[in-house]
Amino acid sequence: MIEAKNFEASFELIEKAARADNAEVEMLVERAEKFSASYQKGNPEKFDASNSHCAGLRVIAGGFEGYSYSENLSEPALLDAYKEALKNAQFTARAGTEGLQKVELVSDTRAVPENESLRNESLATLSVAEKLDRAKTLEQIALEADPRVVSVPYNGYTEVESEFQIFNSKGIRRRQRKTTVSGYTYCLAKSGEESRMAGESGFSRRSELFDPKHIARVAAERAVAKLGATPPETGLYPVVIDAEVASSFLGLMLDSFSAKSVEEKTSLFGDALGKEIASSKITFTDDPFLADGPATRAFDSEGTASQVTPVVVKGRLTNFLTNSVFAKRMKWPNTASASRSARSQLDIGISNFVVSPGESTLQQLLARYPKVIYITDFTGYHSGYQSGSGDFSLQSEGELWENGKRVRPLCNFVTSGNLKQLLMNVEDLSNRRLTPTSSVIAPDLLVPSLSIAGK
Amino acid sequence: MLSSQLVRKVLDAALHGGADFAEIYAEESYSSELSMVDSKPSTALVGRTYGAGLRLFYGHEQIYVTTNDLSEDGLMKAARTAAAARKGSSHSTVAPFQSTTFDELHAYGTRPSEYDRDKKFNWLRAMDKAARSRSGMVVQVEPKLVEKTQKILVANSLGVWAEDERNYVRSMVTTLLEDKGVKQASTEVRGTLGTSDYFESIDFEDMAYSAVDRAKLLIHADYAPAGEMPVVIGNGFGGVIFHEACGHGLETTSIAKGASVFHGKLGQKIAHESVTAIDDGTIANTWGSLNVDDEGMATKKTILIENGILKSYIVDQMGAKQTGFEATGSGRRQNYKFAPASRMRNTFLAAGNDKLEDMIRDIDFGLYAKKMGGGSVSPGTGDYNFGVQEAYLIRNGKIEKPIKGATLIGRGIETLGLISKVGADLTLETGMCGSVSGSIPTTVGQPAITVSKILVGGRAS
Repeated sequence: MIEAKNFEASFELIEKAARADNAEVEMLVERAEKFSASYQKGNPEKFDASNSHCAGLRVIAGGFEGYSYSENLSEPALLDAYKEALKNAQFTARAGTEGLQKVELVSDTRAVPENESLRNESLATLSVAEKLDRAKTLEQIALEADPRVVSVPYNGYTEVESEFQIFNSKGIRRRQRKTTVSGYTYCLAKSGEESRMAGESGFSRRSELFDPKHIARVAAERAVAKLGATPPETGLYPVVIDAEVASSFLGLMLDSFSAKSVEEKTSLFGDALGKEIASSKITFTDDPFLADGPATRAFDSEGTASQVTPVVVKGRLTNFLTNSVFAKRMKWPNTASASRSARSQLDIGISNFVVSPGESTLQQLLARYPKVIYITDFTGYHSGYQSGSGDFSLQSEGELWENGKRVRPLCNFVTSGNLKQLLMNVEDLSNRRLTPTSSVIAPDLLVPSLSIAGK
Repeated sequence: MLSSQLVRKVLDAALHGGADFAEIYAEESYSSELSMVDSKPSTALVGRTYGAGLRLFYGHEQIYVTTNDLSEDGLMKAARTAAAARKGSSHSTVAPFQSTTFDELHAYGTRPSEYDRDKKFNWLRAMDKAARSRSGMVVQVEPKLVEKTQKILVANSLGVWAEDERNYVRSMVTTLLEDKGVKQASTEVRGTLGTSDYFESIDFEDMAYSAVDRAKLLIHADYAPAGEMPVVIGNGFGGVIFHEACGHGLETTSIAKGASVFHGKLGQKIAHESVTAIDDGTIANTWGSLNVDDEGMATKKTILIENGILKSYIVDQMGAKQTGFEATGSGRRQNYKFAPASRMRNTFLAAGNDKLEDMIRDIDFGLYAKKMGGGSVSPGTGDYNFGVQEAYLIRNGKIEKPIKGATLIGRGIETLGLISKVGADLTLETGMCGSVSGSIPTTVGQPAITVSKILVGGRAS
């Protein structure tokens, strides 16, 4: 277990300085102990251990805020960081108070206990040799799974024990510790001159539930399944987007559900509160209490107690996500969605963003049309998605299905469309729920027509 | 930053477990980010990064331990953790330190931490004002200044001792236009390896105008057609295609694992004879330049491809051990939290003799990708993808109209062979490259080139 440390004395030092300047302060402290290892060709390749900490300061002077952070937690370094944040707050005040609303710290001092289910002592039971064996397994099982898997260039096993503390001048005191175990395997499969890569990753909060063999086997199966892939004919096709791909793909639009993006006019749904923005099959819920959710939390980054927020219900936009500042500014409820790390400014973010599943099986979706393209991979999100318009044009891999049967793997094609229109056009969702590995949790999506550029 | 006595003691302790080699990388960095949104201050954030990474080699195995505690106790604890990670049979000791010598290539002025914050805000305001005055369609402007001073020390058991300071400054403005319910964003970026006074040379109004003009051009443009076609890739940031499609595959991080299509091809013809590619860390005050790399080696100019023949890989110290190739001063990392890896610096295609007008005139139906966006690659297969920020349809040897929504995909080694013309208009542009050792400043560049066939992912009809 990560050794407990109390930063109350550090906070008191900074708060004393802030009081002298007639300012208020919020301090976030992050600490983490991390271990990771990887193997190449049966031999240990990397063994990393890190012990890190960082304090992030948000100083409010005259209603205007400035930020700083320091990885040096000595008293002089923290006081320097405080002075930098104060200078930034004063700079903000000088730079443009016109139209800039004053901000306040959260003052809800009711106790919010940490979520005990997010931490455990399971890592302490593993020896270093057992940890290394897990790392080795992530490579070895993939290589043994199929002779066409020629190497596993990228693999790794990671354990993290972390702690997050919040202090503010209004009396907020919060603490959360977390334990996570994760791993990934990316295999290179070859057949003649053809080479294909694919991978799988896994995440768990309890060490004994982590299964490196499963990750390695799935990665190998996926890489081999891609061999023989050819581009599809260019055209419009019904498309099923795999659940894992849908999770990352739908993640592209999350900013649009933030009150900040509405105020900044960058949301795709800025004027749509209460209106239909998606097919009636779509329900999105921000759920910070999900038992197996990677982003489960007892409180947000300002210390406000977590709550479940329905964002889209049967296609209708019901809530934007807010923090205390934007709730006040937009006159909307505070959804406890403050997001901030020690190294960043206050923002708004999701916890576990759940797309409600449908009733059909994946097989039924794939058999819905005579010819369907099943998307198993999108790449290039950062270059292929235009957040301003929702237009996307993404490098893709997948499979061609005809009459409910897999015909062949597909590669080297681009799937294009507009995310806003796609949401309206979702015809159905599968009933599949994968074990979450990211904070967006989605089933498979069936879209009746998307542009496919191939040969 | 740290005394040589302390560094020697720490390296000695780290070697105690029988490692072949020990290295310490210590860092103190200052970073600043200022931005505006809605014509109001939005970001005012200053940060200090502070820590060290200890690296041990046992043959081809690497142990890496990091800490935020640069006191003797903290560093010795990290050294003992590293030494205990594995047992080796080497009896290596720490050689006497000798400072790495290098020419001080870069001129610096007022450091970001010392420069007047209000003056910086005036530049943000100038970008905001200029963008809003350029078009009534502008609904949002986000100007931003990002700066960093990084002070590093690298020392190792072979006696290397190198200290350096790097300063990076970058300005960007993103504009969002809306007309008849259609939105279009566009971004302009300027940056250098330099200090805050670099901003005094920037025409911020012109930057903002360029961003707005591009968004105006594209807002009602038709979508790109879909399918394979010849593509003229414009100069400057067009070099991202070489960076992603080939550069990453030449890094020993991939070569040593055999996870690159360029593995085993040294000395072979891998590109059209008009192609010469260079990775040069020595260009004065240029975004991807260094004095010494993050392993303490003076940086170099490396010819990667000469007239189509593969001449060199991009090699770090571990890559040199694994492959036997000479290190090229290319060991880089974002900060002490990352072990170094072979990475690009200022990477570009050398100028040729062709003219852009001729390249366009030669195409019956194709694409002119005037300004590329970002992209990514799978080094194992060489499959790449790129967004195009500004593109035009070419028909019958003439530019017909602007188009949007184009993505280019292909396989690096195949694309290299399909480059048929190389222009004379070489320029360099700044970028951030993300890979195994974090996000680092890299320059991309090229003259305009013609690729006879690339799959354009536009809209099928």
